[in-house]
Amino acid sequence: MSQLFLLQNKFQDYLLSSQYDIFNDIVETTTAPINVRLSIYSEAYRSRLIEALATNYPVIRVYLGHDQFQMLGQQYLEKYPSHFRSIRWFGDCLDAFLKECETYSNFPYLSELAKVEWTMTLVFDASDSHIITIDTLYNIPPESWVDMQIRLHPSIHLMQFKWNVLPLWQAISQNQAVPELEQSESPVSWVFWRNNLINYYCSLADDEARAIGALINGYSFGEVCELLCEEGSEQDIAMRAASLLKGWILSGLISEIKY
Amino acid sequence: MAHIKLERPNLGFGLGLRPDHYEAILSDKPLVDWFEILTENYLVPGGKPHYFLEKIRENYPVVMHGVSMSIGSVDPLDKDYLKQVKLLSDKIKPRWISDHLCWTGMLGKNMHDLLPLPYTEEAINHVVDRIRQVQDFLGQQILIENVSSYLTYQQSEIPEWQFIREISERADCFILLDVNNVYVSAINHGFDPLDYISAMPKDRVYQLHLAGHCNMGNYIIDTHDHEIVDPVWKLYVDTLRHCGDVSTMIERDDNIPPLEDLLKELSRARELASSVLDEKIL
Repeated sequence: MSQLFLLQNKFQDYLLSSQYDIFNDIVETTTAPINVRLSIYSEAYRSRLIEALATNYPVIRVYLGHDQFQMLGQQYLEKYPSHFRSIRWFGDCLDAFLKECETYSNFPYLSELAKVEWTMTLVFDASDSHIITIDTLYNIPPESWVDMQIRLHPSIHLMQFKWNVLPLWQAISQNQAVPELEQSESPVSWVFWRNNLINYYCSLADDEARAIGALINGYSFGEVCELLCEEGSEQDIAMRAASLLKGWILSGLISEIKY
Repeated sequence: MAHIKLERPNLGFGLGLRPDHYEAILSDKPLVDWFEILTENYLVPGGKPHYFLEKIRENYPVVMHGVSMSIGSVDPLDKDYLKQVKLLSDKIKPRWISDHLCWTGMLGKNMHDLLPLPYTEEAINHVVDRIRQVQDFLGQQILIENVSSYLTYQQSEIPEWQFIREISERADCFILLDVNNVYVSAINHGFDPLDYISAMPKDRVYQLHLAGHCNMGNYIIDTHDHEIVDPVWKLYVDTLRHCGDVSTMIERDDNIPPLEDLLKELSRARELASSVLDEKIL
């Protein structure tokens, strides 16, 4: 092994787990002792990464408060040190960590809140894409509707939450009173997307969530209608599907319709 | 491999492009000659970062400045990262690409810090080889920046200024000389910053950084969260006397003030550079 490898390994071990094997590789000076010089790096490492976590999770940071968030950041950093080139992606496993860590696993809504925040970041810098206007719909020949393929905007994320974490997220984001935490009997579906550089989200009825899920999986419009047929008459379903499609276009969820 | 040869252009006086200033830059079109972007901020698929960058670069030249190349790491070069850098470069056509003479992690982990290298022949050979690979991949020469440091390794055989000079000459790359970092390291290690500046191969210094720092008494931390202090301004003048006219920019990464405050600091840089130029004419 090269001298450079050994030195970097010792330095990184010090940063990750405070192992002092690097100590003898540092020159002692009268102005600042070696441990002070090393601690500049270890403190910078921890504070930079925890700050990056707070940037990705500003609502959890406020909800937990400074001290608790620092502790969470420290624990997360120990379990999931960054392997990303860009610090932007640090914190991708926080929802999983909040589930698995004993300290937080009794508060299951925290993991869902982390999912909300991480999804918001993904929506924020997802790929750009054109969105269609309602005129596009009017130009599609009736015989093409069954097989037409609907391409959603790349920022779209479909999620399910048991807890009322979106009202919680919104209240904390807007510095308002935090709502009482509630768990629904069955998970509620939410769609997140970006339109004109602004993040949006809304809750979905079960059939709409299934329809969007099917579009994400590449189903044609006809196949989406078949899915919806499980719940009503063919006539009602055609009206419902057309109404949903119009709503999605007006909200900026659709990038392209191929027919 | 042949690279696109960069003649040393003087871009003038620039600022680091920060999201806090996006709106003000678009609405006020401030008197800034160019912007330096943090490469990693734009290695995302789309959204606001790309929208504003596209708008701003319609009016200003840009250069790319990375923090994650980890040119001194013992890990293999991250080709995926380099591909992303090249894609961004092909898209936004920066005047040049820079990163730091340091390592940021190993064994697949990233400490997200600019960690110092030992100033040894082994490290020189290692870094020179990697800079050549990067330049071949990108098809152009890059700039490497001196980092602030807070410790000295027992292994180091030569001073930092000789280390960076050797590397730039052997790798045939350019130097982004951070004047504040020279000052910070000079205080932290007790050397004369003029020894550093005067050792720089002037034709290879393509860009200067100016920034503020945090004085902790016995040592200084390079925080980029304060105004530039007078000793660094003085060192900037000394640098210009040695290197001649060099593109200069102010880096502010934390405690970011309104754009007008940075423009005032930039005016000071312009005035000092002008006075040095006048000295040369006289």
